Amino acid sequence: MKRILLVDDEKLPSAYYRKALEMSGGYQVVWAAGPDAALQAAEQRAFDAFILDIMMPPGSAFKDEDTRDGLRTGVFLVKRLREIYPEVPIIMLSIVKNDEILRECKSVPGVSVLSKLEFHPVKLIEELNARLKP
Amino acid sequence: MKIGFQSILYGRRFGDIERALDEIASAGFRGVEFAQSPAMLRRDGVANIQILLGLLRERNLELVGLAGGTLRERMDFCGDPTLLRYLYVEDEDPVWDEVWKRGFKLALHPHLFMRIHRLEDASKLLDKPENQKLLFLPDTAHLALVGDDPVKAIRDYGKRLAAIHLKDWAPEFGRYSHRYARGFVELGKGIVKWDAVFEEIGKRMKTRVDDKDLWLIVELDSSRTSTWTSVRECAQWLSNRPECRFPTPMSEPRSFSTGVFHAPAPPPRVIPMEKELEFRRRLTDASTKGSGTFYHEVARAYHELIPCDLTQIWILTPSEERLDLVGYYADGAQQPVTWNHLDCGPGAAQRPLFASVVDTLEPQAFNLADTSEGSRILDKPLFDHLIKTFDAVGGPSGPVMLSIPVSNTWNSHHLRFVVNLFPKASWLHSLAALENGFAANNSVPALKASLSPLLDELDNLSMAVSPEADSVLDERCLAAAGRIQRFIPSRGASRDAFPKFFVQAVSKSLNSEAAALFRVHSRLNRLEWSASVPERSVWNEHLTAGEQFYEMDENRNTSKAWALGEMRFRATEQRRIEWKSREMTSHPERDDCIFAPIFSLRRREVIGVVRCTNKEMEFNPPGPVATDASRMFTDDDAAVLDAIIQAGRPIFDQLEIQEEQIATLGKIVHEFQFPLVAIRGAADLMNLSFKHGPHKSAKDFFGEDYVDDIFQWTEILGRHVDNADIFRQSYQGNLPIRTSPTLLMSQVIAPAVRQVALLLREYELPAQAIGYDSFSYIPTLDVDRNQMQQVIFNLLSNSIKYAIDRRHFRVTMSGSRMGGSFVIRYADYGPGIDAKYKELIFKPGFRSPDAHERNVSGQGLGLSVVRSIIEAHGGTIEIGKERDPMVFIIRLPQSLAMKSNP
Repeated sequence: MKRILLVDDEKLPSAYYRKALEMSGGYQVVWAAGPDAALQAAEQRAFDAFILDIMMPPGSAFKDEDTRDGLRTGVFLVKRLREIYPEVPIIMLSIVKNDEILRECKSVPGVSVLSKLEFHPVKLIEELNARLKP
Repeated sequence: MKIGFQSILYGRRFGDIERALDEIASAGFRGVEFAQSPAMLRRDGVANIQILLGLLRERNLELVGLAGGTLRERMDFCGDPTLLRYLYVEDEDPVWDEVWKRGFKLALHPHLFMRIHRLEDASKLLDKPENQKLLFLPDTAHLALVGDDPVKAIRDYGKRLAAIHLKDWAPEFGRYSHRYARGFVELGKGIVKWDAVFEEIGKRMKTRVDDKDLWLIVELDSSRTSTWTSVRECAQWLSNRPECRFPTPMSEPRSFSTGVFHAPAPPPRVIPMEKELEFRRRLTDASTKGSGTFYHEVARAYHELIPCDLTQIWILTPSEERLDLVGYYADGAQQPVTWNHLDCGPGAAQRPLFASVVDTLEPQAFNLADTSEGSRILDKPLFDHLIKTFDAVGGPSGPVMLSIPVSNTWNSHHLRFVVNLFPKASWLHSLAALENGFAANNSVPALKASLSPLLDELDNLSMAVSPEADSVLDERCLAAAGRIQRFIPSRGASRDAFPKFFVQAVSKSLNSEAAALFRVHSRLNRLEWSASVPERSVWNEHLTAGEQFYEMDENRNTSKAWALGEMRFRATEQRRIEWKSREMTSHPERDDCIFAPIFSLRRREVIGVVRCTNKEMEFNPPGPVATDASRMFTDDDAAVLDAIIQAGRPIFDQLEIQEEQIATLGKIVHEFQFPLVAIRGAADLMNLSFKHGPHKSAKDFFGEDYVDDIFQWTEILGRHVDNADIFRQSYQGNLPIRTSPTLLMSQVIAPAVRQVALLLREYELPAQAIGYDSFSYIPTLDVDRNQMQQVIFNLLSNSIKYAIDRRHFRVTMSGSRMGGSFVIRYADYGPGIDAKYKELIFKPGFRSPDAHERNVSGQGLGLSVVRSIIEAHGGTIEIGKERDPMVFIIRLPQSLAMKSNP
């Protein structure tokens, strides 16, 4: 059973992803509504993959950073998580279209950036399966 | 109330004062405020105040006020302060105390383009404790034009009103934010809200204690028809307002003369008639040659009228209290050019010798050898040069300068420019020999006296000069505005296109070194760089987009001056940017800049600022060479810039509206996307639930695959939302292309066809009617897969919506390689399109008349989005054939082929 940390402030849509991941078998999902909860969870236990939204409230973790009203919160979170977990695959899943932000996310090693508009739960599971192939 | 007339309509000099007063009286007015100075009145034969009063009495008119000439001149002319109501003033003057001591009343008139132009400026003076005797003379049009409410002026100073100027103004293209203010019109034809004005006047009348007789003075700067027509028109308008109790004007002016007054006989001519005719001919010719040449030609025309060593033309820029040398003509050697502008304001440390001509509009002669006058010459090098080199003769007469004011056509009380003539000494002597005084004792006063008939004649001639100068300026304004009006927004014009075009037009029209446009960013409340010419100008080093360089007050005006639409501010010693308007005015020596605010027509706010630097230019050698002589921007340039801005305003407003709409569209798109993602997630989850439950699938449970329907509808909805989003992004010039290796057939066309499956069902069209030919000629391409799907989806969705019926519905797609391109041919056997719409259908918002007729839904975005996507990939799309079938030809560059392809 792979353990996934799903970070997304949108409660219902992320619940669909979470449920779908769990139903597909093979995944146990921990959900965090923002960077604070995410970092706390990441400190406490090990994960096999992270799925992060980009646009989120910065929380106390990034309140002093230039997140542009939360538009770039994911950029800071992914960098911080990468420090803690240098190897674990990270998928950034968002509807953000700002090229600059997407480029910044992609520049972090081992990160793939997917559009929520394209990657509905089933497709995401396929992608995740591929990434976590033993 | 009593209603009088301002005689400015009759010019700086009446010529026939009796005729003018006849007209005023015949129209029904009861008094006159004279604009003509005592000196000018004398030239018309009014030697003293008694003669003037006599002329008025004959016509049952009262002397209300005197507005022309210096205060001292007017007091001396009147003698007795009880003979009139007030003396008109526009600004503070040390003489005021003396005026009050002598018992005269002063009436302050805020005036456009003068230091005191707003009610606020006037209040500062009126409210000073030492100025409590100062009366107020508000002007309805002048106040309305600077955005003040004349009603407030009347209300606030009801008890201190000397009179009220009733004046109206109507917008005239491009010409009001500078001193050539034209557009003053007969009452009732302009912007002044007269009902409110008269209502307030009525109220104030009741509160006036000591002086119930409030004078209303009707004023009109110039007439476009005849003076009588204009006077009568104003009178007619007044007589139609019951509250004015104004009589119906006579149909023709009658003569009130009792024969007591005799107009003076014209003096003998000094300048021969044929010379004058030649002079006029030269001016007319010059007026077609552009402003650079024009001023040189004017100088030359004067030069040939009177043999001179040097002739100069100085343009006045009143808001700067500055004179710019814009043209000159010289005999012999090239002249020194260390001077090109002079500060002429009352406080200027180096006020030029001829500043008094600027103040009084009186032609004058100056003896340059007279040390008391010579020491007041600003341009010392020129002075020394003249003394040394020129055709100077000994004796007290020395070199002489004749200074001739040329006034403004539309208001003869405003100076347009000054002509300085340095006549040849030999010519002066031959002229003087004809005159008794000069020949007899050769003294300076005698010289001046002997020159006065010549000066009068030159003054009269100058009246012929200003209309020509106006027509030159008109031409420049029209040409400049025309440039702007030729701007045609191209398909999906990005917001950068017009600003670029605009600054280019500014730069060209003003012959400037560089021009830049800064636009107001409302949310951040600052001005941001928008476009400049040249693109890599000095400013770009300091001013990148987003850099703030002007602070704005809470009304979003960078300074009071901007709020008024005033434009001239010059740069300080450096071009660095923390310029505030105050600093700009203080160092006129260096780089000359012109700044102009752009006002929104719809919001009455500054929406941008243009900034322009003058070309550093050397003087060309004298002669018939076209050149723009001044290194400073003159008022003429300001007028041209104004014309450009006026022409550009509607387009800027349009741009702003579009940008707001596009920004809103962006927000709407985002609002749509969030639930879309959620619906898909839920549907997905439902499918998974079925899979893990007893029914295995939704179809098994429902009998139909409704969950898949939800999916498909969300995809269609998603495509429509994407259309809006792609449209927004391409408008903003940042449509991002995210490429990945893509096979057209399996990864673009097939998914798009799948996505329209529900639409086909809805329109009852057969899915098998969509066919494809071989795409084997097209290898894997590096394109944005999702966007390419959008292209095919949009084309298919159009074909489906416009399909005639199920029998005729057919679409085929094929791929080939042709020339340097991969070609997708999309053939649609539907109704086709009229040849005249071949290009138009790619324009955002365009919908064919057929679409309206047949009630086909849509916003006209689909094909414009298709073109944006294809062009963003470096390709093209066009209609190859209009019908049977209609064919779209999409060409994609071969460079999109993956490197790994053979």
